[in-house]
Amino acid sequence: MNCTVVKELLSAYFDGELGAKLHQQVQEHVEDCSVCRRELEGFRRLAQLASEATVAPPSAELWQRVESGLDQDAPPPPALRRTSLSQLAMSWNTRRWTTLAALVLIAVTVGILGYRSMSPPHEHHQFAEVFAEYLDRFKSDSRDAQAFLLSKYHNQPVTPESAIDRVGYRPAVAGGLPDGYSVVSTHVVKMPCCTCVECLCQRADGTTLAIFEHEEDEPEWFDKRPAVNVICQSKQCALFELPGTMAASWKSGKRYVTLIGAQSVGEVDKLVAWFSRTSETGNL
Amino acid sequence: MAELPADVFASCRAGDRSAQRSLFERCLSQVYQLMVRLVGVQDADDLTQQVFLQVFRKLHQFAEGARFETWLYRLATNEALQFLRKERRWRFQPLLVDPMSKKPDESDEQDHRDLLEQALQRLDPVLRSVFVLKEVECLSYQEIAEAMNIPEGTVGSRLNRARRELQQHLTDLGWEA
Repeated sequence: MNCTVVKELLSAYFDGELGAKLHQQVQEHVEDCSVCRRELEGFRRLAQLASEATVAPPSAELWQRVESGLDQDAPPPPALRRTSLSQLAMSWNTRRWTTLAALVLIAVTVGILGYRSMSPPHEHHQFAEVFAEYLDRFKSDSRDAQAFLLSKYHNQPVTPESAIDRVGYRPAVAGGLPDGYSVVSTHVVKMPCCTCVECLCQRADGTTLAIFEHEEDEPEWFDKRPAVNVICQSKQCALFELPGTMAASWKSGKRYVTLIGAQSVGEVDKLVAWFSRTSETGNL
Repeated sequence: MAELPADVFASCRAGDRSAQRSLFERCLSQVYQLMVRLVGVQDADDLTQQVFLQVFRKLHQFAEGARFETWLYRLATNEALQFLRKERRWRFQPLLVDPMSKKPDESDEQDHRDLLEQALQRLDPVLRSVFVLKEVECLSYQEIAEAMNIPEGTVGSRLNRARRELQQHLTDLGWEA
């Protein structure tokens, strides 16, 4: 992990907001790097200053002022008033228009609800659940996780080169992978959110990671898992902690790349750099 | 903040003044402290009053079962940011304490309070809010994200900026850690 990445994570590290894996990686860097350690010390001194600087008490009349404001809010008692025939007629006209407007509103609402009910029921909610399970399974058995995801959605096994016929672009993995990585399988998967290219890759040590390429940003894949935004190779990259591993998503060229099963921020940084070079040569 | 009685919100909504006062007293120090840090001590009373008026006017919008503190912080932060936007206070850097008039026996605590307040006033209001919610109110990133209606992932990067800029302002003001 280098200083650029650590600087992005430093506050989250200092505040104890990183997951165990990221926390350890930052800690190891800080122990070896005097620049980052000095910055961290600055954060500590600032926290101490904030905790020492007390605040004088507020004005003793504050409640009276609030109460007085609340008294002014209270509605005046209804006044007796004479109503002329013309006022009555105007009032009836107003009521009639109000009723008509209400009916139109109800009709539109019913229409919208009816239209929505024709959409696949809870499709997006179900998708979030499916993807959450895929992410949870990934660390223990990435192939089982992949099989689970593919069993849920229409998909087609492809070669990286032939994926262009189904998605309209040449996926980044068609340009090859960095040294030490090889392609296990590639699928075009039609999910409710998008149609994407999923590529299961293998490292030299036999462990695996998945690379998804898609046309839009897909934060819903990670549902409520908190993201940590970092800058990798000058690109904003969202990192997500998963059980025993991590995921990352960033924009590369015209599309987005999402990595599932990264081992470290250093690996994410390396792959962001690789795909940046690929996008510059026209693959992404 | 101490735990609130279960029926306090219903009583406040019904206009029960004693329940409203009880809620006010429970939350006053938190809201006032936040306002001193966000808008400065001169306007903190006025803004605290405004926040509590809004609390009682909008209490019907608060969903019971949700965390009241988060709702309160969101409302208070919004009021402060709106005030600062309107007043464009961050363009001015009021010198609250003239260093030349400082008496020799004034405590370090007073020094720290004034220094921090002056440095905070120089910070962009959004960064100031994130910093104060973390360091003064001790909220988690998730709570800060909810209070400020921003993605949780951006809290850390905003805190990075806030801390770096604040240290620079403090150094400019002669802070020696």
